[in-house]
Amino acid sequence: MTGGQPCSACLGRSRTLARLSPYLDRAGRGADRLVALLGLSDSRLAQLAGREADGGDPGAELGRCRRAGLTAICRHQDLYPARLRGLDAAPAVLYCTAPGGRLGDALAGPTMAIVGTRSASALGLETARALGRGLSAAGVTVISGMALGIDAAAHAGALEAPGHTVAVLAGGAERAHPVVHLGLYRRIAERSCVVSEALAGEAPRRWRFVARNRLIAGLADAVIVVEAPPRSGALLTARWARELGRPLGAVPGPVSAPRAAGVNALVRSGAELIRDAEDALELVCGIGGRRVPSPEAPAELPGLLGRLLAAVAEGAATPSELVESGIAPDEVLAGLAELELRGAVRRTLSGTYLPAL
Amino acid sequence: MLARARTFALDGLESTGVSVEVNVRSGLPAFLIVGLGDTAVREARERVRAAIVNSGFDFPPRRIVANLAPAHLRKEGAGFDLALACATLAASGQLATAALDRWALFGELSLTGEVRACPGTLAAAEAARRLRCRGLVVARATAPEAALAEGLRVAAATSLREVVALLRGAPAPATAPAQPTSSPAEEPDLADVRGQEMAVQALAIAAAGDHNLLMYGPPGTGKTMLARRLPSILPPLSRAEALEVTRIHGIAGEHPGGGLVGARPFRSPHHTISAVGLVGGGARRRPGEASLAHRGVLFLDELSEFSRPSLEALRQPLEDGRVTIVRGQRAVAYPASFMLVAATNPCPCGLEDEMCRCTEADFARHRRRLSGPVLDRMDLVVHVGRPKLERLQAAPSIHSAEVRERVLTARERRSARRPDPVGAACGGDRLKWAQPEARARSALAAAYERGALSARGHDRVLGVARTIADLDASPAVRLEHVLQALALRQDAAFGAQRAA
Repeated sequence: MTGGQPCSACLGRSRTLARLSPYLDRAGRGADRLVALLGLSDSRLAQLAGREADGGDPGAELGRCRRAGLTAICRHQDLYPARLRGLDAAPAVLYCTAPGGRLGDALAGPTMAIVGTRSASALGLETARALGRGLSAAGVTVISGMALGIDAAAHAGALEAPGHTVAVLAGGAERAHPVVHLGLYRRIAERSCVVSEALAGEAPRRWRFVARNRLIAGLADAVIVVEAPPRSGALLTARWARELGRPLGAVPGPVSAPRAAGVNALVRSGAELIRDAEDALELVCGIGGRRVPSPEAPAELPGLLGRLLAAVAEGAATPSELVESGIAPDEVLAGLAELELRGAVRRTLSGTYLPAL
Repeated sequence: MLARARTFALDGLESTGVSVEVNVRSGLPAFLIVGLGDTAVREARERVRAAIVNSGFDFPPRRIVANLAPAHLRKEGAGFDLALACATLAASGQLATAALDRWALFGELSLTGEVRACPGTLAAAEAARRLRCRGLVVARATAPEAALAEGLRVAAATSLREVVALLRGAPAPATAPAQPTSSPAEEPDLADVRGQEMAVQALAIAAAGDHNLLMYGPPGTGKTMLARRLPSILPPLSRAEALEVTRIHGIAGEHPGGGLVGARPFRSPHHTISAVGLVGGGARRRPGEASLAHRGVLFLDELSEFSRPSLEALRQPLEDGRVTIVRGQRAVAYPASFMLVAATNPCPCGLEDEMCRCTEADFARHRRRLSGPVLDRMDLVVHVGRPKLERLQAAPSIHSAEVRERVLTARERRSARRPDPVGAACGGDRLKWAQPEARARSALAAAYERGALSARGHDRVLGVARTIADLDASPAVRLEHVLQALALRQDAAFGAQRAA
């Protein structure tokens, strides 16, 4: 192992995989087949793909990285994450938006992956955000894929507290994907870092997403799934977590909700049931290992506000439902606005109210 | 021989005087009409010829040239028929030319010589009064409408023969002005609505302060029903407003021969409407739905289904209360000052709760379709949900009359506080005008600091809070008024979600 520069063999490997992307997309259907393929040597892969093995020029490769503002870390360097060393077919090179030291800092303490569906419900987003915030506050690094929905909410929650959060992308790490999360990308890159095993400038391909999910599970000490329908990519991450021996947790949902069917199945098959950041911490640090620093205890809310908050927590999500519980319309409106200003409830885009977790 | 008659042409929502000059001279028999007329004016030749012959007069077999002056003004419609026929009769010596000075003429002719109503009678009558015409002859059906122009002598006629008799000096019985045909009390009543107290409260606020309102909720919960009942809690039209509305509807041909409009208009165009249909214009310039809703309610159901250009076109009327249309090198301004009420599903699938399968991207797309010019100007956003069964089957608890009473009192308080800073008023003025208490101001400041409100949102919330205070008979805006206004404001929730 060395400090210094990433080695030519690893850079060559990285370039070869990028060149063989179309072949890997085709031949690597099914996660196991993909991992088997990624375990092969450069020359064997090239032979299977019917191409010449050509790793390109490592010097030029490093130049490209520098221009894109990325740091390349190969598996022979000290900075390479120790958690990936036991991984079969681990990426040869990680490209990172910050100097390697920053990645080291982010991964020095306990890490936790929070993943889930892109088509999340408002409650799912709120849960992911609260988990991210709680873990970050307790000093646990939150790892996710910056995808729409749960992933982004987990990152955003982590950024609300002072801890680290690392985004693992399927395409080149120099570019936000999906692009609507450009703002989030910048904030993550500023606080911690965004990493990818794809080359700078590479567009994400299907096999890269599968490999990326494995990388997320690999970088994390434990994985939590928040909301996932039965065919979600997040369930693939959960599968990797099991294979890699990482503890797995899942936030359950209503049995009638299709978008919770995947997580409910995980709980049924033995994943830890996660309700809040405390439960999540237990998964990664053991019972009483660390605590979520609780802010000052929330003041007891007086009469009407307390009733409203209780009704919202019970699931009376809209003002009209609250009116039906016998509170006058003007009192409902004024009360909800006050609760919102106090941060006790949150209004969703569709105008329903959720208890702030 | 030359004769001249006085009639009127529509120009936007006004009418201008047109002089019909007819010259009859020897030559090959022909009937020519010049003066920038449309197809209806060209076809007047056949109607006028047949009407004259069938009324027992002679149509001169000579060269007849009719000129509609001023020549630069485009003339549309069939209202020139009567003046053309009478001027032709005078020019051919069957009627004294001096008789045409006493009466202006406005009406369409049928081939039998019957005088028919045509759109824009009130506008024509107002122009006649403005131009100090001594009297106006119109079809019997539209005479009460014309008589709304005070101080104008109006004669009703059913046939060309009657018109000729009038012009020859027969006595013209006075026509009584039209009575209001509708009033807010006759509109559908809020008593039909069960268990939507929240929405009714929002309707009352909207009615008291002329705020735009968006209702959202799953299909079949009564959004359209609620909106339809908004005119029943609005104050009746003043006489000037009623005349204005009657004139606009008359010109659009929406209100042929009817009386004075009494209740505020309620227009609910289908979502496939084009931008031209919504704001007016087109080959034959015609007021759009926005102008037909002038002084009333424009209701857009399924707001997200309206085309982008249509919604963009609403920007000007929402800001200025009128629409300017430039067409064929002429600009026409249609008044379009309305209260906008819209309804939409909460998400593309329209379902709520666990059954909804919409992704965040679907949701964002739905939201984007709504946002922009219209959503920005929605002061009140209220959820209309499914009421509980026992509420649905309960006796009516709210009646329009009571709500209207509260609205009227609040509106009086509002107008007593003039000047009302609308639109670009600076924050200081608005604060002075609204008179918020210290606690109300700090709640507003807290919402602003949290990034939940834009500067415009801040002012609009204050405006809504002022209205709520007026409904509450409170001289100052108190904390609960601002809180209610915040809860009804749509973008107050945005700050929280946008970060995700």
